[in-house]
Amino acid sequence: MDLDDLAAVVRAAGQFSAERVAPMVGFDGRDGDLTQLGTVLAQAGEIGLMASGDAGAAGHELGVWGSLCRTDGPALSLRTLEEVASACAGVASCLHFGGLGALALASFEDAPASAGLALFDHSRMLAERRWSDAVACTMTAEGDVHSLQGAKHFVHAAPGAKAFAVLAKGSTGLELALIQADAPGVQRVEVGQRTGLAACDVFHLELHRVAVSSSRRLREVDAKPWLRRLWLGLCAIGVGNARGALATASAYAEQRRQGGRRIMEHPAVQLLLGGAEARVRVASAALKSAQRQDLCDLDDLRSAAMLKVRVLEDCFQAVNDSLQVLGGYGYMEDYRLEKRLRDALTLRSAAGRADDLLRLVATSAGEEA
Amino acid sequence: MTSPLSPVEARRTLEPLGRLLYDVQPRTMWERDTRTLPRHLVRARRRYRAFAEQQLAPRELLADRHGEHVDVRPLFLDAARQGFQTELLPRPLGTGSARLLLGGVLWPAVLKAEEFAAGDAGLGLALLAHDLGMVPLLLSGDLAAMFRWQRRIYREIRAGEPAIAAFAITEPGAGSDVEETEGAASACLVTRARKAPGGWRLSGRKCFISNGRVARWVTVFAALEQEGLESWTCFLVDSSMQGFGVGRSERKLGQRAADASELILDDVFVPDDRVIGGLRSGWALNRNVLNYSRPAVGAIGVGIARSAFEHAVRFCRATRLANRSLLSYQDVQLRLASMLSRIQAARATVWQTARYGRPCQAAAAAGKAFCAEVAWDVSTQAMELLGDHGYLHTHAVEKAMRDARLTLLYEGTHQINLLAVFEGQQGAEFAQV
Repeated sequence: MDLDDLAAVVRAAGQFSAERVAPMVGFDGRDGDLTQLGTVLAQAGEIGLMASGDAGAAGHELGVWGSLCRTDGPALSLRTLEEVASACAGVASCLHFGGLGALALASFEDAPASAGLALFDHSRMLAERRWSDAVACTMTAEGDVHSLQGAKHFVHAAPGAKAFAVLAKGSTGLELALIQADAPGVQRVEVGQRTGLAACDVFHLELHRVAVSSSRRLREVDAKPWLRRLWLGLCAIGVGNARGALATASAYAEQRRQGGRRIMEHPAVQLLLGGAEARVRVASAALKSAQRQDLCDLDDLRSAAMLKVRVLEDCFQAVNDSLQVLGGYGYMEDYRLEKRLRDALTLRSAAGRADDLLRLVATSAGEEA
Repeated sequence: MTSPLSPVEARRTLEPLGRLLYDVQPRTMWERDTRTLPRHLVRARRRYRAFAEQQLAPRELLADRHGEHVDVRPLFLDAARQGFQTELLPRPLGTGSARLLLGGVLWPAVLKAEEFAAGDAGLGLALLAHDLGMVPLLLSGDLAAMFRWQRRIYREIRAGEPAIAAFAITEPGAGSDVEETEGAASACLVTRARKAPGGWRLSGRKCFISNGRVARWVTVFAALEQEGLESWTCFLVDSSMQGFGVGRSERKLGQRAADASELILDDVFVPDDRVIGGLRSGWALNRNVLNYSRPAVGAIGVGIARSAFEHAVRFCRATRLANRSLLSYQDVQLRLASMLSRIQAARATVWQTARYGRPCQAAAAAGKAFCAEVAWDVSTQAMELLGDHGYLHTHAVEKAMRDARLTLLYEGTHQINLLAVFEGQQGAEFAQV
């Protein structure tokens, strides 16, 4: 894919974000009008932003984590996520997790069009390099029949996922199993009310002797490329979310007057806005470095872990400073900055604690060398 | 088995006097701090805590979920029965202890604020905002207002009426301007008082008013006609007065059980005897009310941080991973210890401000600014510590984060408070500019 093609897709994502996603977020309700979410995601599918396991679908190749990312790297997916997240991090999360699920489906024959992807359960175990202990379900064999037993925690998925690609502990290492959402023994447990990313589904899966045929099992799976994509995608969403917050705060600072002048003229506000922009720029630059082809080694989990920690921390701080510019109004739902703050904090907490990832960086230093 | 090198075991090797000088008792920091207080404050602190644990904490998640639909009046009356809503005057006019008040009005305010906020910051704010509405009557030094109005309102409350008070300074076009000197000079005020026979007619709007929807009594600050903020005057408005209305209630990120509403004043007639502290004394009164309320907001920050910390400890104690309690992991211990240390420092800051006796601008603003930072830092650390569990409502740390964020905004933004520290110490640490 050349740069012109990339720019065209990013433009389309920006247009979709402004014309479809932003009106859905609107100004009413805590997280916007989520009854429109199905329509918005369907439109994302129609214009090719939402990846699909169906080879004939518009987003099969160019969608977020569409098949092109295997050969051309993550740049297209990350730029798309950033654009969509500039209007709503939750919708971007749907594209992200839906895309990861669709990409996993490509490993299986006769797979459904969409799926959720359930990777690790305990980031602490990743830090301790205990890959198998980081998953909470096991593939067991009884004769020729294999079945899954255990649980998957905090599964993120676009609404309506009919199947799940589940990482499990096998006898010879990690395995990836594809299971139907309504298969016997699969129970979905809702996690209840959450802080942010409300558009995206989050739940636990309890798995009780869920039968898995051999065609739906991948053995000795290397999960690192999946984790890397997972974390980089969250970073891109964080950058887009922070960009949107900064734009709102900058516009407000130009209009709002205090002390007889625009608040933009107050040094206290300039410091906040300048700091927020610096953080967004640095985070964005760091993420772009990961998109360059020469740095696109999917086994490079360390750099992805570092980015997840630093980029999402900087993005969170940028959103926080942007909210501060609005004073009391930032705390109210009207300007949507409180939603962006909730989303930023959720992104920071999700899919791996910062302390665990930093320890992973430290403990895996030798491997990279 | 306890190691002989542990502090408890090692202490045994000391002489009796040495053992006496070495405290290894397994007491919470809350308990340790409480024991440093005079006896009457110890009693007060324990009573506030008991009320918060029994009445506020059990309603914490539900109150947050239902936000502006929570009716705080029954809770207000429960608190009133304990004497907590009439403490600004000593017996027999109110329920405050003369010893408490002689030691400065800040002590009951900060002790109560921490405990109530630790129970639930939203419900706590709804209860505490009543004192904020009443304190202008006290701080005005207007004895007639105290005897005529404060005594009457307290009598109503003690008779079982939910005579809730609110404090109204913020206006749609003047948020920070009414909280600092520089902005005040060119503040864009819309609430005005026009002289009428026997009183004043108030017109304008106030916004973000805590308890605005449920208050019976509101201390409203208005500029006199054709004059600026220097003419600000405090009026005691009864919400049943003709022309008084409530506009929209805000939908907030946190402290959701506490109402924040817009007040609409449409030619409200206020008799002369409800001018508090005299004409044109409102700006000075407002500044000193902020000096009173900022330490309380600092204490609210301490309470929220404590709530986040306690919820995080509970989670870590209950969660096991790889056959070990989360508490046994060193990185978890580092986080929790960092949180506790910060809470400890924040409480010390607030209490030091209370020890000054009289409210003081720099100390009040510095304490508020520091404690708000601590509340924010501790609650976001707690979220981080819980990982994916951190963003679930059920563990309450995300709620603490949402509650904490408001402490960086109300009673003046964080930046306004820092500037207040500078202004307050001009001629002292800082040269006059």
